[in-house]
Amino acid sequence: MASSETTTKVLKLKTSDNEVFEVEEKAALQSGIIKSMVEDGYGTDDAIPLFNVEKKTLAKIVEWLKKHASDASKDELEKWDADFVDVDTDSLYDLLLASNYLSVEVLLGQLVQKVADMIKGKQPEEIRKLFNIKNDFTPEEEEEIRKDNAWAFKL
Amino acid sequence: MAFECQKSTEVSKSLAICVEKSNSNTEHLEISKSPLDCYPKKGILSSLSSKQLSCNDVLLNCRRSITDLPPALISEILSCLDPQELGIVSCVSRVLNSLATENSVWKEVYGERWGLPIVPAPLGAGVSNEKSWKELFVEREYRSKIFLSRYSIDTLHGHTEAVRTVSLLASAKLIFTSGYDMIVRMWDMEDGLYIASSRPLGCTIRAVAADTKLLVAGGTDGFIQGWRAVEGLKHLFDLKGSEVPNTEFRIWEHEGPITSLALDPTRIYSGSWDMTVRIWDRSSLECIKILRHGDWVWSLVPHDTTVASTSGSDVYVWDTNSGTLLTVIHSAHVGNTYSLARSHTEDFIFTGGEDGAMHMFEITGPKPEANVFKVATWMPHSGPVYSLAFEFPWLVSASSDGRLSLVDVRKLLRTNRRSLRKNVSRVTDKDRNNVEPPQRMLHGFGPNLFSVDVGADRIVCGGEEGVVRIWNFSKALERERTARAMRGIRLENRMRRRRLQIEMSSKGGRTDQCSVAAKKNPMHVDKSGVWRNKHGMSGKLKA
Repeated sequence: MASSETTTKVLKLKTSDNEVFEVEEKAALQSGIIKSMVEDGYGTDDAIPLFNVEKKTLAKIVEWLKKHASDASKDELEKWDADFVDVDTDSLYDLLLASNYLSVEVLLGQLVQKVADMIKGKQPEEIRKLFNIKNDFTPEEEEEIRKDNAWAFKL
Repeated sequence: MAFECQKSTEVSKSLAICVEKSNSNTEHLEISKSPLDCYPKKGILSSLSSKQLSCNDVLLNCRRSITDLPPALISEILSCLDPQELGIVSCVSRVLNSLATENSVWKEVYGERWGLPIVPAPLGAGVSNEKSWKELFVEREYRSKIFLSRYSIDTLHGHTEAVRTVSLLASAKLIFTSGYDMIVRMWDMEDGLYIASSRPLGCTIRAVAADTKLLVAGGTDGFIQGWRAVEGLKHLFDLKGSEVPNTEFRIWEHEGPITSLALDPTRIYSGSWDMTVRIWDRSSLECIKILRHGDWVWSLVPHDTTVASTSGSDVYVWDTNSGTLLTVIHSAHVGNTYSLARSHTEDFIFTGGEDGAMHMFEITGPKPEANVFKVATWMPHSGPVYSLAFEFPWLVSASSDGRLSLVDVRKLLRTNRRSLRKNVSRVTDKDRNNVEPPQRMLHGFGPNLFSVDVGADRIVCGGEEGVVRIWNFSKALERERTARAMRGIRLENRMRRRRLQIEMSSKGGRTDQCSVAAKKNPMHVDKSGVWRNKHGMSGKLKA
């Protein structure tokens, strides 16, 4: 939970598991959904309800919002962001869903790029293993699809 | 948290439960590195059937899959991938296949590389004889590789003086040329045969541009001569003006020689030594914008709502709707910047200049305050670069040294639709440092190649000699198609063999013949490292 100075306005964010986070308004307004809810009058007295986000995930996102609201240099942010998205796949999915729901465009872009970078240069079998994807093709279907996409494979 | 299967876990016929044991010290999810403890309770073992999940399967199924994400998010991820990677991803699972082969995705990819056809081919879903955008992309991608293959040269004779301009209209298989002899000539791209020519237009023609509806030529007297396409006419334009009346027109407004012309679906663009670029409405033929420069205009390339132009040594990018200047690249070359080309994503500009250099610039950021980065420089020529043409991934240049250079820029043109939307630079420092020299030089002609164009599987060039040359790579395309078919057959055979092996192993079939032979005739090695079989050395070896 973040405490803040009395001079800056603080918003309370309530997770699906009823945990409340306090975030400076400047940082929180990087989220499109929070911004529109504040404009609609939420957050003045009560906490803003974020039903689709759990405590663990919101903690990470709040950390990101605070960092990006700070006056960190571009180079410092770049390094910090690279470390921030360097998490296991389950955490990545949670962050993706949450940043999409909260409409944090920049973070969503970073996470999407991270997943794309994980896919790059891998063969289908490796992608399945990495992202826990079941191969639901029949052997005939797989053969046909491989044939259609033979151009994409370096034979 | 580390996942483990508890010793107390009861594994029944229908269910295997994976319990998540939490560990407050570890923040990230990790798969336990130690061997899994999975001891079913006494008496359960006998009831386990082969259909049941093993503990490792259970563990795998505890993890979520990327395919559980909403399709919109997966599509967003796929939009960061190159076309080749999209092809690979479509082989992973049904969900990813359907998202990675969406027609709209491939339409975007195709348009980004080569631009969408002005008259798009009907691409109705489910119609068997119509090609999807993915199929069109793959076909075009194969075609883009052929410029490193063998070619034949067609030489077109007919002009009596130097050829200043060539234009290739690949969709209609036509070539238009003109120059100092003041006549616009039309040729068949396929067989290189002369089709028709205009009457003498009264001055040197320095620029020609054409699409399937309109042909325009610009002269040193400052006029634009135009021909509208005639419906039902096999070769589109009645250059002589004898067959159909009122298809020809002439526009006067420039106060100096016209050096460059271009067309888009609604406008005509002309650049002149009167230091202006004029934008004309195609239907009314009225000048709707005048873009004033500080020096002679040498070349221009429109794209969507912008037009790039070169004036003196500078490069300008203008908004065509408002007529405002968006970006200037000052002193792009030492001396004049004669030639210009652009990528279809609009954010890459190629220039050629009097200094013999070719530069590639990237424009990023919102348009009014766009940033310009020099991405690459090539110096393949010993004289001025008079003309550039670009068709992904090939940048083709023509120079006064009588040579053409072909540069493959695919490594520098990162096709990432997401970063296009976000106005982020797509060229990394690593890319900038790894600029490769031109992949091919075509030479052996007289000096001063004035104009070049590229399209389909042809490169067309004209110069001081007064002949037009076509480098024809279509045979290479046929060879590439054959090779592709062979690769498909190889892949099919490989899959078939793999299936047979799986079937054999599941039936507990015999081991392969090699291992049987090895058992029958084992090899022995002595300590000196000499290999012998059990019968000892053969007589010949002993001798």
